[in-house]
Amino acid sequence: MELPRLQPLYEQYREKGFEVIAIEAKRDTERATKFIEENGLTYTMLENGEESDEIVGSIFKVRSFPSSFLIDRDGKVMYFHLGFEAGDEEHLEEQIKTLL
Amino acid sequence: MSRKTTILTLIVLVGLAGGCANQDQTSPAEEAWSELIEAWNGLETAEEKATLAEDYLAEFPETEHSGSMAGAVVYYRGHEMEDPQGAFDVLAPVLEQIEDPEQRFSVGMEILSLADSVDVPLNLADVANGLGAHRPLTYSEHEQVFVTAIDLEEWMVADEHSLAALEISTPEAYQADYPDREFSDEDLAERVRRRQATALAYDGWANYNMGDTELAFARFAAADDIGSVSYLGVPNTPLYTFWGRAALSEGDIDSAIEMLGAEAAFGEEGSDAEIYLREAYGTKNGDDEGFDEFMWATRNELATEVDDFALLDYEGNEISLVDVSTGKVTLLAFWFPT
Repeated sequence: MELPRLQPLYEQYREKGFEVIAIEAKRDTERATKFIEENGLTYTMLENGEESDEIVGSIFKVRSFPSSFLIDRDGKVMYFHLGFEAGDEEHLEEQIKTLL
Repeated sequence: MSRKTTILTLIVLVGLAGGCANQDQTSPAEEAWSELIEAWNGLETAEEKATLAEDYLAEFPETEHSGSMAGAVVYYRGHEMEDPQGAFDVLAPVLEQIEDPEQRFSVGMEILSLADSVDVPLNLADVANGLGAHRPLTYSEHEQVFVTAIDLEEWMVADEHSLAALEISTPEAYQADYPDREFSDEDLAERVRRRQATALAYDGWANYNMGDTELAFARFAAADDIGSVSYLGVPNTPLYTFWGRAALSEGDIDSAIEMLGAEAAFGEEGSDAEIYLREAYGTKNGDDEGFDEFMWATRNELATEVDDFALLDYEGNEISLVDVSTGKVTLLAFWFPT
């Protein structure tokens, strides 16, 4: 899984105003917390809600995973990513630097 | 093979692996499969994974896992190791040994995805008809065929299968494809709309390439009316790439720029939209000087303002998006553990 690749970017750019929020879509709490702990992920980790509080599909219309939105300082979604493969960090880092 | 297809193939592969790991070990093939699944997670390199899949196929060419193993060979040897010819040389003899139409179809489709890179003596229509003679194809199978047909520029095959897919894009058929899952009515309706819009977009592009411009644009407009769009406002299908390219060819540069611009900014990465957007921009402005600034302006103009929300973290605290992200650059990532 790709989330650990975000950790170094988070550590490097946090001071400059970069945040990461990861939302676990399927409410697989046990495996999610184990994964987060094992990989030492320190950014904001949230769990999708149930029924009327479900947001991943109903608000963000996300049906493919992993995927992500990069949001600028004014709250506008500037980039969309589907999938996160080896090497995508560099691309993402360029986009972060453009927005910071 | 598009990036999306690659990712989906992997998800299917991992899904199969998870689902099959605990089955009764009743045959040598299943026993070997369980061992493979166990070994798989410890493998690191593409070569190790390709080799393991190839060894399994060599010993058991015809099992319910043939398609996913062929997919692994295509992905790891063909793409990751950049050796499509090597992948083809492994898989072609495997296909020869398979008699079951289901497995011939799944392995045949995997081999066809190598067709851009190697000279493949395989006929897409034959592969599809082989299974089609045995039972009606599902939506996903038709989709596999029409997407591959577009890649291979086999427009008539694409037309035939996109229309057949459209015909079976119904809530009942969707539910039948996922018998174990429960969907809300709203979610199911959206999934069906996405299928309809996908089939219409591909059929429009097939027809455009067969010279029926009027029908092509009617299909594009019909796909647009269905309105299956992402959170960022672009279709969940390649509609804008196809429609924009057709508009560009027809000399309707402003429409081409509008559609390709939205797709290039917020569509699926790795699409060709930006390539054709640059061409449209160059046609309009004489050259592509200033294209990067134009792209940035387009992105800013079309960007969606994110909705706030609140969810619980793992300590039970309610956290809202604005709590964390106000004044910050924020990556909002969606995931689940596998």
